[in-house]
Amino acid sequence: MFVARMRTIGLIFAIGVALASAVRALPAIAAPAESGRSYEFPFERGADRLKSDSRTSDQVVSVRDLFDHHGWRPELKFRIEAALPGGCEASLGCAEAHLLQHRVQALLAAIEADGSAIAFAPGNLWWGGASRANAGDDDVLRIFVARGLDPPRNPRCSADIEIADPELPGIDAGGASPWVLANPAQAVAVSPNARMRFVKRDPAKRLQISLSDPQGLSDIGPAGASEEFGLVFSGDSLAIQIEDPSSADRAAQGGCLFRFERWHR
Amino acid sequence: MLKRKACELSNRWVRLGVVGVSALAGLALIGLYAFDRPIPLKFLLVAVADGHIARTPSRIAENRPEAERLLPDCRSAYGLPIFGAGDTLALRVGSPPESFWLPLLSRQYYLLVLVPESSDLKVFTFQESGNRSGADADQQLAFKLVIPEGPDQSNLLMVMARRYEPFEANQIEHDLHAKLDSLKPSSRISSAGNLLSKITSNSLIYVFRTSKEAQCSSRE
Repeated sequence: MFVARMRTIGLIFAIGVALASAVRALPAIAAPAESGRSYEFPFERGADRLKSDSRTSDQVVSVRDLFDHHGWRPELKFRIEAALPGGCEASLGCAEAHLLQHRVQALLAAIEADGSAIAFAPGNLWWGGASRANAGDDDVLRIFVARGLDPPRNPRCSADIEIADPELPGIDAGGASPWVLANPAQAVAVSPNARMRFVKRDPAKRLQISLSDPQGLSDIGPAGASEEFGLVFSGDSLAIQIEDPSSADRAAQGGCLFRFERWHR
Repeated sequence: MLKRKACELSNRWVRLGVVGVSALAGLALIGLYAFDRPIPLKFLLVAVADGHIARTPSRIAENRPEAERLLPDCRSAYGLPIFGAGDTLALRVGSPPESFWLPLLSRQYYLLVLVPESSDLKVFTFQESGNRSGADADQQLAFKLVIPEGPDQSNLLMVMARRYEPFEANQIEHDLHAKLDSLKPSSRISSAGNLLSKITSNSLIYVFRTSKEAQCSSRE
């Protein structure tokens, strides 16, 4: 009697876990990875003071979290920008650019107000202007991602991994692909909505993929030329190893490992 | 009857006395905490006029705000940052904001001391903080120093902060001269660090080298 009840409870628990995993994978299927998350900061008109409301405070905390987790990544460059008059976006020589510089400084102060210093890779953070026609409200600062240097590729790997994470700010130059190469050297933080795909260096090769966790990927299915997956975390980290079964040097391939960490716990 | 009354009065005074002494002790503790708690100073990010955002201390090409330009990091064989004559050292420091009532009890006062191995030392006050009025805890303080012509040498830059009362800049400069002027160049930096850390434990230290000629490609 007791054993039967325990089995029933175990079964219900297992179904619950399976359902939870499926529900967590759903946003990855539904969310359009192409449109990045918007990080916007309204300022008092003509002044360098951030408008203080609960939404701005939440945004500041989100950006602190964003920079903490992604500021080190050389493949991403973060750009803080706002509308500037035509001709001033490049030179930053007009009075509006001077105000924008002060606003950026105020935003940085708000982001850095608590906690330790954020570790940015050199050249990973910029500020600048966008032409008024494209930028919308003059008194709003926005954060975008521009592509940086591709991370060093692991020569032992027969494939790379690319990530599209809608929690990252939109990639500037509208319509640019949201896919960014994952860094094999250091664990990359990804949100539950992130998608990944393997990019084979030789498309004809059949590769073998092993995961640190059997529930690590949810197959989203073919989209365009490649198959996409959602990253499903049952713990806080996930490791993906790519092996080439046709290669004789199996030992050397042990180094082809990508590591991911859960972001936004 | 009278005796009981006298005893009640005496007990009331004793109770009042205990409450009063406890309140005073509490206030003293709060005051001690408010004035003596550490100031967690840190170097902050700066938005340079050319569009770069960099962690300070950083090397900038020109001192005019509208023409300033971030220069690439330049380091000696031992990893020390190098500044050439004419480069500008940009600095931004701050500390986290505090609870609402604590800033009312104490302002923060800052001092910046530059001790080169063989040139004359300098003591600066941050303009934003005011020399005597102090700064709010969450106020950021910016400072720019144009590196003068001089010999190749190491330098100690120390940002100091404390609460309640301003630093006596003239006295500190006088004490530093008295202690350092007779020392060999190689001993000046460590001695200055020891002397200044006795004045306050709230400090940031930055050691760098200055060079007669720019050793890295800097100003084209």
